[in-house]
Amino acid sequence: MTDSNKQTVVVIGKLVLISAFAALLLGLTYIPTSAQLEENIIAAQKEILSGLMPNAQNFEPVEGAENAEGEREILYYRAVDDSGNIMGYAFFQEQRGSQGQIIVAGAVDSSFSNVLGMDVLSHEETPGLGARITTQEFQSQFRDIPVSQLALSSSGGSIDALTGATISSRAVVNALDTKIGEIEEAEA
Amino acid sequence: MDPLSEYIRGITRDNPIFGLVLGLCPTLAVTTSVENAIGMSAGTAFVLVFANIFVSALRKQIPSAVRLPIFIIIIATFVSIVDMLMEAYFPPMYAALGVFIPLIVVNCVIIGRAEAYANKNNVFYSFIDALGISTGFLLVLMLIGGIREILGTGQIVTFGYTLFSLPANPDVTTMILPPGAFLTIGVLMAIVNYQRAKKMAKGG
Repeated sequence: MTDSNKQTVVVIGKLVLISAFAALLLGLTYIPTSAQLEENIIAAQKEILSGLMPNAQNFEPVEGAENAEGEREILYYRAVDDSGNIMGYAFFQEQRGSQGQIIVAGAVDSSFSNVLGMDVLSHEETPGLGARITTQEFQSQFRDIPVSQLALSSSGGSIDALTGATISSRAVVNALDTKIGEIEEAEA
Repeated sequence: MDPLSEYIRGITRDNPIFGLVLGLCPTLAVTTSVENAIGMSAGTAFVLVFANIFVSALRKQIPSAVRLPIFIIIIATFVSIVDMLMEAYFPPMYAALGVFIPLIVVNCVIIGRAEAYANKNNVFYSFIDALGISTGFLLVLMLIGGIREILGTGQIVTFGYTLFSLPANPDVTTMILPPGAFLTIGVLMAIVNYQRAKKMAKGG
């Protein structure tokens, strides 16, 4: 091997070594933080659920069928009051927005006649446009409205789409609509 | 070179913002409050200290032809660690600082110190240099954040404690918005440069 070849091999070797060490450090950080992240998500979910239905005493998770890994996914929550009566149903639903997945939280009363509220757990929408689905102004439109009115005003409902963010607005409405239908079917 | 004067140099003559004029992008972007300023400085300090230590320790092993990629690997590793730690343990601050945490990778203060200092000095002095520069960065960010927060909201609230409150809220929302950052840093830079020019004229 010539001298310059040898040098190239040494340089590549050093780069590989440093990269491997960097990967090791990142792996060691990932393990504890990913566990903490899951706890954070659960805490955030709890806060959102009790924000949607402040009078509910407890949210009982309703689980789906076991998947391949033997885990059960939580489909929705039954909100119960002090004496154990079902007040309504709260849920999270994932829906594709204009930029990425939006995770919407919603609540519906026990007779499936009124939507109680909407909140956004996470989204990747454009700041200033689609990201306004997280604002009070937009979310208050979903507070205590009849399920029949749950549609954009252009489709005969009572929800005014955000200016310049019709796709994000429609995604939120569709997420709620789909999930409420699913729960109604499951509870029937 | 004594360690103390090397440390002070990072706050005064080689202050990253007013001396070296590096890392202005995060400075302008996240100084909307003292709390955010502290969070950003802490993240930057962590990366700067470890990047300086590793670059300095490996400086005789790093082939000069590929030194920049190696600096970036070292810096990006520690930035990713800060990113993961902050997301897991300080979610509200992580949400406030947003994209500026990953952008520490390209913060020119850090690669600037790696190239200009850590690559030429031993581990101990590189560590001191990182501490000094970080302190300088923290002080300036807190100053700018404090000015903007007081003028914008009338008080300074840090980690839930109200540190300072004006009797009347000036409520200049502009100061919290991007123009406030440019105005504040411009005025401060003018004052610093005026003082510096006066010192020079005196034969300093």
